[in-house]
Amino acid sequence: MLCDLDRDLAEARAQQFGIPEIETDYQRVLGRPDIDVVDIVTRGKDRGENHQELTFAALDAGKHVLCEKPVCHDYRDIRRAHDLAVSKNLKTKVGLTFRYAPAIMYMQALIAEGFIGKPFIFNGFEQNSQWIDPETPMDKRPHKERSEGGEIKGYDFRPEAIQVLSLEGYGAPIIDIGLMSVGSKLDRVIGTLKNMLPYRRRTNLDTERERINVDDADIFIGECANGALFSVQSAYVTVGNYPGIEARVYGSNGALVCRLVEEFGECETLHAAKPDAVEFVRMPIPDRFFPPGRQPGEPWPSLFYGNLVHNFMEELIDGDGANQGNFAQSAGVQEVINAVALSHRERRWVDLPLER
Amino acid sequence: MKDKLHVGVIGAGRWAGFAHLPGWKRSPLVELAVVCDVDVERAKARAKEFEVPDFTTDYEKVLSRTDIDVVDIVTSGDNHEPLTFATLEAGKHCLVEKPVCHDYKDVWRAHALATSKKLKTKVGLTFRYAPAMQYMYDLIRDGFVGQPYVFNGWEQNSQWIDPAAPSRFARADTGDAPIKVGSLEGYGAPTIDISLWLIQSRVTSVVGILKNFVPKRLNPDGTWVRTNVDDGDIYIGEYANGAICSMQSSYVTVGNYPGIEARVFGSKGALICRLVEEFGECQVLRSATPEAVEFVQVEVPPSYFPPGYVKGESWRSLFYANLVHNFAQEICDGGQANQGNFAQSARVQEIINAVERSHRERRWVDLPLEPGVGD
Repeated sequence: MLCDLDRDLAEARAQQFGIPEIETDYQRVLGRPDIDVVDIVTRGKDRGENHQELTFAALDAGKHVLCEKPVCHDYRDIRRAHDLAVSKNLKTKVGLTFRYAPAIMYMQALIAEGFIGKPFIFNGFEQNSQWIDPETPMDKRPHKERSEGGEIKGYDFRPEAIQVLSLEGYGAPIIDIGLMSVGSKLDRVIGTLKNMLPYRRRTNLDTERERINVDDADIFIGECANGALFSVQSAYVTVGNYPGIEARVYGSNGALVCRLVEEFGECETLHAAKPDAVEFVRMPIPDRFFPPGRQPGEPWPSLFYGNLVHNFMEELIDGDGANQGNFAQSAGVQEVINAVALSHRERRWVDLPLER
Repeated sequence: MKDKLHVGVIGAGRWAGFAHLPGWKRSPLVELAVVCDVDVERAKARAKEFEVPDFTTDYEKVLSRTDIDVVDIVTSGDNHEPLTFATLEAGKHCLVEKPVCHDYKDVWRAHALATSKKLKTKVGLTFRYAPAMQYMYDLIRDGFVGQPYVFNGWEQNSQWIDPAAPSRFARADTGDAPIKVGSLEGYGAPTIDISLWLIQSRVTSVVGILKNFVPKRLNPDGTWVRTNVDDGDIYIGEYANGAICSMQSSYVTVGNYPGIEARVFGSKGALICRLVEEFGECQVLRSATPEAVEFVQVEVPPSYFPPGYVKGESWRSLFYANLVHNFAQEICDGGQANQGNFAQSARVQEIINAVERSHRERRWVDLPLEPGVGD
């Protein structure tokens, strides 16, 4: 079944994907005993602001949950959602899309086999240029009438009051990959959030640009519990194609560089080097890392998400403990985001874990 | 001005043989006059190899020769600072390998001395002279990236990734002493230089971490010693013009020499220059624009290559040939131009000193470190 507030949209999508039923009331979805899994992929009136409410409702209704990020803006709320899921023996998954890219899955398999040895350094990037033009409105959806409120505020122009945006919207999946790659928690972080394009229109209905103080580019560094160094950069005003992910990991026995950037018909590459063969060479990705029904040249959104949802289904059907990229992992990622934001506001190193 | 500059080279080790001497040799503006090394055999061998008419073991003899215009200091010991001051006092233009001095204030003193004597200076900030990097600079100057937003720099290699890697010299045991600056100064400097040069703005704040990944190393006598030296580091920084940067250096991260990468993202475009010898190529420049977001390789025009360029030439001689030829041109032209001089090196060294302080005090450090020092 497919649910959306907009009946026409729900109808069109149901037809497109051959789904037997549509609904505009999510409570009716949650009330159906024959449904096992609920997938929350709302954009919401205010960019994802209903993920938290829908997630708790779905878990309360006893459904396994896949939710787009952010599940909640405060890592403590995600942890509560995780505890609720565990107490009900439910599995969860967050739209940390890029850990499911075949090249990233292969990279992680190589790391697990000891390819890089002891991890020394992780460098992560998630970049695109979708708002590089100041004429592009902050809210890109075409509006017919002005709506109340909106999540993007940015009315406080002090640098320390900048609203977190790129770091949460784009940083999350690469932080997730970084934590997975080094196999360790972060002990402390420090970062800087920047607003490179201070003036733009809020929506297509606005004629004047206004000052909106949001983070459109950021970098942070960190130290991991196992001694590894960590850096992550995210931006939506840096030139480059989607999804704009790069993950580099250097260790005592080798290095791996994975690039997920659609360029000239390729959306993923993995390169490797060893101490005795220091020139990076391309690694072919074995078939087992691709989802069922894969088409050559398939666009990355369906390819990577094909892996994500199939992996979730396998985890649910296998019935054992496996549950990668769940709410616990997402809470850890969100805690890093919250800590980096705090480090920027207070212009200091912030130790992790944050107070519990 | 005489038709050729006469050059004396102090230090005849490996880097002199790879980079400096072949560079001077091929500049049409230069005549090599003397090679100096404390090891007479080495001085003699290098003089023969590069057809230099004279060799000596006494640097004072080089400095006192009135026919010598330029002195090139490429010694491996920790004597760059005294040799530099002596060279300038003797009235010679001076090229010196980094670091000129460990404290940025001393580099500024050397710069002031050179300026007072109307001498030009140059530091072995090799990688800004890579043809691809020089072209990248010109593209940025001509507006290709627009307003710069982000700089990312790396200088990495894996020459000491093996704790038992044979070393030519014995390392002192550091015991539990606080970490010493190693990679940041030895390898970070040329890319820090590039980070300032390409963005054309001062860095106002930095914060970084120095790490020791390989804690013990094998000495030539077969003993293992504790070596608490920074073999990997990262810092982030903020520029006066609003841009931000990250910079990473290491000699225990797998990859080939010279292991440089510089990325600049701006309002109108992005440029990525990679100087890593891989499968016969030592430099690649790529670009993208908001309308064409997939990065494409940019060809470096022939005018950016030094005299005597041979296709497939090693970066070791290629980049340095540009450096020394550029220095010879700057001296012969007699104008104000003097890129990568002691002033620039002092700014780079100030950042190194600031990053070290940020590590020790675990905080952001603002620059300038001391008001009134520098420009």
